Amino acid sequence: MKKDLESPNEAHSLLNEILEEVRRNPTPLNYWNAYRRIRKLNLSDKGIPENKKVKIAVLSSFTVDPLVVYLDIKTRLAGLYPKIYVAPFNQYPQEIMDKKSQLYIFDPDVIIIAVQAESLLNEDFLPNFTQISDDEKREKEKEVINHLKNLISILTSRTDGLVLVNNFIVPWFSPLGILDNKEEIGYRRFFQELNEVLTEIYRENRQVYVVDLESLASKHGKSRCINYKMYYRGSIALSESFLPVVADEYAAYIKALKNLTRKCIVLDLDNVLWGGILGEEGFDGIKLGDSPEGEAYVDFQRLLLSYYNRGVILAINSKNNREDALKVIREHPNMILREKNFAAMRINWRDKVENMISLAEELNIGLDSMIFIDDSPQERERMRQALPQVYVLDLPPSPFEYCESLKSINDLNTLTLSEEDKRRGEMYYARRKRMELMKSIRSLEDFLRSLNIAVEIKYADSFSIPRITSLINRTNQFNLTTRRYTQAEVEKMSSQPDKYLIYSMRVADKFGDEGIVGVAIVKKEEKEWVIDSFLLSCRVIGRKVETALLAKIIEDARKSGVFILIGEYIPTSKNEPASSFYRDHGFEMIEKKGNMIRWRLDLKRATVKTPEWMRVTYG
Amino acid sequence: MVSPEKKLKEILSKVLLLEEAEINDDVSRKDVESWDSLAHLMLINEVESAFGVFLSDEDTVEIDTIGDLKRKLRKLGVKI
Repeated sequence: MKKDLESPNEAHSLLNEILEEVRRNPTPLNYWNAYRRIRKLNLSDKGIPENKKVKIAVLSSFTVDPLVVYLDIKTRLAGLYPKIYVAPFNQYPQEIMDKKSQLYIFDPDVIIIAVQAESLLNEDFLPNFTQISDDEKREKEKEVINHLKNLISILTSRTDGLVLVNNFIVPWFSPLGILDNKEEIGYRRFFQELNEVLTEIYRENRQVYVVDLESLASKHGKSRCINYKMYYRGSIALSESFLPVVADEYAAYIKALKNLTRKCIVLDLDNVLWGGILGEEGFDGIKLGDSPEGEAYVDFQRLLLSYYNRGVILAINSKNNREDALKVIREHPNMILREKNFAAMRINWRDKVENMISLAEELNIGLDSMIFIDDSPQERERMRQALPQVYVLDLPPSPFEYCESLKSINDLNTLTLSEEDKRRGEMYYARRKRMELMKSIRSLEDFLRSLNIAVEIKYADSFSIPRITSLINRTNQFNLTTRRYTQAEVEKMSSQPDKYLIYSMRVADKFGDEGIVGVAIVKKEEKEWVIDSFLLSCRVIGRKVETALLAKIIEDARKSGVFILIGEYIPTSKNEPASSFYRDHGFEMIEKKGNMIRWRLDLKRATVKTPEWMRVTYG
Repeated sequence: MVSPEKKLKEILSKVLLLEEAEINDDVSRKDVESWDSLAHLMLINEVESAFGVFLSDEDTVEIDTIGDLKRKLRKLGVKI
């Protein structure tokens, strides 16, 4: 009955087999079966890269083992290797308060707090609700909120892990019946207020996120959220149909935390942005507005535009005559998305896989951050097979379902969103224009001069920290050490100016303002400063702005009487563009520590100058 | 239509991680490592949904072998 394990490789191929089974047929029974079989594999995490590991702790007022089943499998399906710790049944307060509890020993990256309001209210709360005064209700609200707030503040003082706290499901039932909203605090209002207060407390917090369980429950249908058989027999508060929905939501946060965020949606045109085949129906024959299907395509474009406006990059990959398609994009009265909304376009008769690769190159992003939307099952299958890193959406056959299908993708999330992020689409368009200019000018230096580059370097402050954090976590190519920090960690460093300096760099040129695109973190030691992190958004690679940032660090070091600057480089599969940075700026290689290479610049003998054609200001 | 036997076998094999060949009436909770209390709960829930029956607290506790489970189902009118 018990299979003994074999080699780690064999275990991993078995793991993939099990996951493939549940991916194809995601029934509750198969999730359970997959979870239990994987546990028996006794997988070791040797050789698994740090950025793919995630430690999740679940603190709850009910039995969460079934939730763990889904959480484990969903995070594995996202390419992660989870370790999950479940605190003993309903002992989350003790676990949080006791400094030496298993929770802190486990040292989680993510802490899920799933507490039902019911467990914090007396058993006679529902029976007596219609009898108690508004003051008493307010008192109760305070009690519930303070209980959570106090525990969370202890928790966040002891760990840097991301805290996900569920809000409360507003009951669909009220003992007041149809008069529920005629009371000052009706039964449903009571729970709604709890949710509002909870949301407000953590609105600006970058370590604690309130998971909107209430919205998920509404979407799922509140009467389907509990399976009372499991509830009474096993204190299992979420039904088997609701569990995967909840686990997906947690997975969205976890994917954002682990930088598995997708940045770009690549779209086919015919039967995706409009109905019909342009080459057959012609400009006037395609369905776009003015008919039931036509309206559905317009709405789909509106939804895409809302993604664009929050920073998702849009691109086109379509088999069409380029000029005909461009005419529709530019001139069709009902088009919502226009040329400026697309960061790059491949409208041709080439293989879509080939187009996809060249889009990734042009946009300077990984295939693993792209989503492909195409109505043809054959094209989708081809893409899946050739480029498994690309997320291929299973677009439903009817355009009426397109919007719902797109909304279900939870891979586009980030934990912070700055003004720069929201303007990303615009910046890519400027970039395309810049590249056109570059082709027309002969030498690189002439080109750079003609851009009128202006750089502003500042120390991190509360305005820039969200953007700085987002760059730290998303930049892969020009990133010397690829060290990831959470916003809480960045804030902590920034509050210790005697130990750390955090720089942000803003870059603009005649085509537009790129916003903050460079970050450096310097660790101050007694005799030397160490550049812990140095990174540049791929949007500005090749404009020599990194030299300006380095020059500023050197200037600061000199002013502090420090004359040794240490640079660190940790190679990854993606950061080759940064490999010669220190050598190019006159540093000497001094040592290799593991896979890290350390470089040294003696400021008494050498320095770095900003190119004279670049305008630099310091904030 | 899938026969009740086949349906039950599938549930048993998936919930308890058993090969179909290992499944017989004498297999009991103490023989099967993965037949813990949560698995038992899953098993009862799956069986109830699959056959449209309700197992009482007493039934749930009394099921110790696969044979017991079948007897309970027969009592509830399932032809197995």
